[in-house]
Amino acid sequence: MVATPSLTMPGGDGSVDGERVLLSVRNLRKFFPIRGGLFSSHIGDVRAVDGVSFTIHEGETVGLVGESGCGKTTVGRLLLRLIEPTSGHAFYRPTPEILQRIEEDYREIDLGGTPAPGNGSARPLSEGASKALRDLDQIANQYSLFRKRRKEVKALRGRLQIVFQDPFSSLEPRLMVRDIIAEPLDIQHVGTRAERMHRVDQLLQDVGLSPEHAWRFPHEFSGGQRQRIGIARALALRPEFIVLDEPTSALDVSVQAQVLNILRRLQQEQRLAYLFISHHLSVIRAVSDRVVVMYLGRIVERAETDELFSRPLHPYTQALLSAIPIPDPLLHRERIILSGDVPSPADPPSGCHFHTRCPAVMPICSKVSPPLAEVRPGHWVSCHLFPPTVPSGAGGAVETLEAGPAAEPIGEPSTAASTSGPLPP
Amino acid sequence: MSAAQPISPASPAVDTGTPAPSPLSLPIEAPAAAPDLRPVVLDVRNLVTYFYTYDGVVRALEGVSFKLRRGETLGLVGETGCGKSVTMFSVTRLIPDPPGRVVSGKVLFRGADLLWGLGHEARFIPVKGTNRVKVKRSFRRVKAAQARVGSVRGAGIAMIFQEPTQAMNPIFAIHDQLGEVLLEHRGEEVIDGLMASTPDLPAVRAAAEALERSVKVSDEAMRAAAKAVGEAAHLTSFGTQAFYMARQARTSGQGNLATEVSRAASRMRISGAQASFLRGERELRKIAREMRSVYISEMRRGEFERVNRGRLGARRLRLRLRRIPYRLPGIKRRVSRPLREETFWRAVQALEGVQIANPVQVARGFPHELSGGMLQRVMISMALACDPEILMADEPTTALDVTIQAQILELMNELRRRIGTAILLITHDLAVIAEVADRVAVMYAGQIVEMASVHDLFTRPLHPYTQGLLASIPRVDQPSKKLESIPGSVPNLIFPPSGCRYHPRCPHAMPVCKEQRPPMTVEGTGHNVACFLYNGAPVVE
Amino acid sequence: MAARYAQYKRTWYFLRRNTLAMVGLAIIILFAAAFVYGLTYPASSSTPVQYCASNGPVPVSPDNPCYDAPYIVCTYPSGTVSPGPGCYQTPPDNPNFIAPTFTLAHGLGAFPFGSLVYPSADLSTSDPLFYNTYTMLEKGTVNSVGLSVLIVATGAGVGLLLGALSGYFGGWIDEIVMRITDIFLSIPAILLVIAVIIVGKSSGLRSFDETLVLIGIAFVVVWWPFYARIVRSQSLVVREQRYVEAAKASGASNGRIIVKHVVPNSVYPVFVQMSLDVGTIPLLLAAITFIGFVLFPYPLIPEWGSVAAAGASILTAVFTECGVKGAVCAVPWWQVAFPGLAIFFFSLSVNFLADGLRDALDPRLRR
Repeated sequence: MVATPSLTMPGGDGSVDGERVLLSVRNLRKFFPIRGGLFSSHIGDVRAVDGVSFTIHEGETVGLVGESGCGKTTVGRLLLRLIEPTSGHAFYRPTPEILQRIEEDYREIDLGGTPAPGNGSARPLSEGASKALRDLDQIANQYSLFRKRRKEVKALRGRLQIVFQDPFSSLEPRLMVRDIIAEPLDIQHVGTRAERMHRVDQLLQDVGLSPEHAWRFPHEFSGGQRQRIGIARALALRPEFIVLDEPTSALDVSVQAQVLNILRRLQQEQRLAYLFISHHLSVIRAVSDRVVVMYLGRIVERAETDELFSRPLHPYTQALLSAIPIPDPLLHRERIILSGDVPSPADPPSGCHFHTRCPAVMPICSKVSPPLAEVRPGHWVSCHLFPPTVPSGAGGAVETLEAGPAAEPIGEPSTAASTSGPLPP
Repeated sequence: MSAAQPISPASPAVDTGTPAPSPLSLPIEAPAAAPDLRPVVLDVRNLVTYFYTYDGVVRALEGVSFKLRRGETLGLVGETGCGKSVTMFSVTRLIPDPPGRVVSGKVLFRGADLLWGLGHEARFIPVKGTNRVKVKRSFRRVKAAQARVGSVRGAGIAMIFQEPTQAMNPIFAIHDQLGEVLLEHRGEEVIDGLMASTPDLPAVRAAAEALERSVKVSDEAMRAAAKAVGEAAHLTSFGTQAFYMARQARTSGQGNLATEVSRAASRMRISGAQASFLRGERELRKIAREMRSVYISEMRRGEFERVNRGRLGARRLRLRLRRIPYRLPGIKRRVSRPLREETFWRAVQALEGVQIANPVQVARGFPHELSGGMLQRVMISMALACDPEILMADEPTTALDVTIQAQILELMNELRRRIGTAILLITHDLAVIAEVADRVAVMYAGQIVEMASVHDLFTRPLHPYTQGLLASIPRVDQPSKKLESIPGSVPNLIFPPSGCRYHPRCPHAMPVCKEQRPPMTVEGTGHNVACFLYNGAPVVE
Repeated sequence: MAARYAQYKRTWYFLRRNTLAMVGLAIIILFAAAFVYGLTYPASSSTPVQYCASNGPVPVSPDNPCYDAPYIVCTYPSGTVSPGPGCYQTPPDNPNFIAPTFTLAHGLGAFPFGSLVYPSADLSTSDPLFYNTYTMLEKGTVNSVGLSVLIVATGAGVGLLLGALSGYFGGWIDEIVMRITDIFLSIPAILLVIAVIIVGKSSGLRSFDETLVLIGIAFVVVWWPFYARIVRSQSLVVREQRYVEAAKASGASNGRIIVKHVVPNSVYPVFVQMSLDVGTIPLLLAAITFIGFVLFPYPLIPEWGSVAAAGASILTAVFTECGVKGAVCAVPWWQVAFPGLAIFFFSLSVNFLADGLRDALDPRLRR
């Protein structure tokens, strides 16, 4: 028995304070093939990212939380196209009208119904669904990051940047700091050499270092300073969106506070949007506007920060929250200790991935994967404890996660009629 | 390991009018502070450790002193480069020498000074015109010192380290490594138990049948029955073996458990050759133990005991020569079989002790097959297998995920309650300290700046550095808290600041802070701080 | 600026403390001086200094075959009286053979064994060509050292290029390059060199320069796979580094990444290997000549290996002729000793220096 697949995507989470949508990620999937056997044949996939959807608005911070192996780092890299996705879309700066169309398309596809995976026979798509697929395709050709050609991607590189976790290996040790920071400018042929050096000085000051630091080598700096150099490098091309991949996990607490304060100031000054990836819930709470919780490649919960932390609904989120050690010996908490280890993403449990460790597991959990449903306004959970009610207006849209393996490759315009099987566009 | 309790969702689906019970509940009353009268197990006095490098002398530790009492958990907290790991390694002389050197200090453990002999081992010659210092070491003496302290490591002071995936030898199975530790420190006991085991076969048969009946009943019944089998066989590890055989019989549904168990018991007979092998092993372990006690008495009295050492060494050599035939490949296998089986099942017992769900599989497996959390448990079990007086843990959970970290901390708490070892926990995470520790010592740039009970430190942090640290930690339960960072950065320990090492970054710095190093003063029961802002009575050693 | 200089100073400090490396360095400096001197030597590179044995007093009379020779050495058969100072005694039946003496080499002060090298293995020939050991060493240094350095540099260059491409791109490029290197690595170096040379020679390359080039090519063909392998494994590591990802995130093309990031960071082990190989090449050349495969039509080209090989065959002939037949002759041991010693010291010193450098540059050995 498989869940009725539905491909409807909830339209972001509404618009936050009327800000424009910067990135709308839909059904993102990344499978890494496992090769084995005598001829290195394709025997399976590591499902690193398995149907992830969320929205990022201008100037906001979205926190992406999860433990190791949940795929959050991969999501960051996918958005920057450092890795190519297996399927899914990331719509870049869609206008509200386009967003509307996208939502309607997905809803159509959902209603039109695609057969469940593994069901054998492929039911033909309804008229509306095929039309919707074609429309979606058209939109994707224009707006999806993954369909852009090399030249366009290179131009966009300046707008979408990344800061890495490890301040020790993200800066090339044999280059001077000025070369490291100027490199993006060099690659994009921005300005003359003098102008670039001037900009380097400016950037160093932005992150709280002094221009004389430009003449030193990375190994002469502490971890916090190196991370700041990494941030300066990311700012060089005046981005509008930065993926922060665990930027403070390798730093001490007081240094972390410094870096976080700098990041916040820069966000306010330059209207940056952040995707803050971390496994430290306390840090996420301090910086994010909205939070996405991932487990084993899927989103289990998605909400505004305060809502998530005061009312965590998914059992995994609750366990995560209770597991955080609090620096206060007076607080006595009931710890929810999960049994067992995180399963391997190469062989995830069936149905809901979390069912092997869930304290509230039910029989249905191992068979059917729960859809991501909006349980409260702006608060989405993927759990059978919160079965979706009939979709209605604002509150009840639903998203599936059990759609099958990779769709037709990105970049090839698909003719809807020729899609076979339940492939998410 | 089971969950604390099942979660009840506040209410399903749409109606979530009433909030779910938050995982963070209300604070409870603070425990009353009482003077600690438990005996001191480890007394570290004025530990000074320097590293002699090309760029100069790194003054890593500048007079660190603390006491560890029986059964308490002392947390050593500080940021990167403050010297907490160096402290731990200095106590057991694991500092790489060269380039490091424990320059002076005393570490009293079991009445012996582990650092005895420091002065004789090296001479220091400053190089003119540079910051370097040449160190002339007498390697013979350094090696001898290592051997001495080695007697205390393991059974006296056990250690677990930060990266569990790299702490074990990848080519040996888990039970081999656990077994090695067991034999090294409790070898005599193990072998005595083995040799004294003469299974009462009829009783074993009866108990085995009872076991077979209990398989269908419940886990607890199985355990009890297995224990009875062990008693009948006069060997507790056989009881463990029986239990797991029963478990396997339950999953595979075989019916002849009793016969299997009896057969295993009858195989336990030790042949003559095996017995003499065992006796030789025991003798070796006995000599090792005597060597250790010689070392300890050396450290206690402060002088070499060459005569005793020589005698023991000669005995050991003779014994080893006599046992050479046992090392031949074919013979070795046959002759050591009982011992290997015994250590295997004891290893399984140890793994049970750290709440590993499938200890037999884990024991047979290799380190690369296990996850970080599992490996850390195995490390803990290895450390505790010798019943040490002190357990030193260097960032044991930093490399682990949050949920796994929670498991391990829970485990450590439980072990603490059950076994009562004193723990020195080194970490940079104040939250972990709040969970696990009784007392805390805060380190900065190679010095302890504040020491207090956990409660006092968090409610009344005195030293500006502690206050700065607490102000910079983001709190899940305090979302609107502003994160304050400490200005400046950690000092270069080759040129440390004069006087109080924190004064360049301290918001309350006074002129005297630049000139003198503040002494540790008492500011409350068990609350010591090294800061000129406070004028308490100086701490008495 | 200051930072880089400080790094060099530090490396030098550690190098200085390593005695073997300093010894190696000193010897290398000597060889380098000889190299430079040899390059500037007035005689042309392809014609050695030829002495003519006068078999009588000098200056020679017009009927002496040495009358027109540019360089004449005074020789006299043993049993007769020396015509004057600075004359060499030769065995009666072999006027071309001279015992070692202390004598003046051209203008450089007293140098022992300034005596002569016999060109061919056949003692009985009256080929009036003599070579000065000293000259031989100098020209030999130029040839050997120059050849080694050039071969290693070219081999490393080719290997670097292919290794970087192969390691960075992976996939089928990697497969192809690695299989090719497998092929080359599975054939013993000597055989491969000989094969290439035979092929070359059979297509008619005879002159000295062409032979030299041919040998160079043969060695490069043999050597580049080692470097390709080294560079490939390094670039496999480098391409996974975060800073490469950061460059990609800013839009760097593959070419730029290879040139600016992969190659510079993969080059360190190549340097080490290069310095070791420079010492190995003369050994290999000597080995080839020793097994009888004449590389150069010596005496045209003094090259340590060939000279040593020629000397060895001379020694054999000497032992048979003189020892067996009972004639009186000097054993020209110097013809083997000096080139051999040159190879030995060259290789050894390069090895020491390379070892020392590697230790000094290794960041893990923190002192």
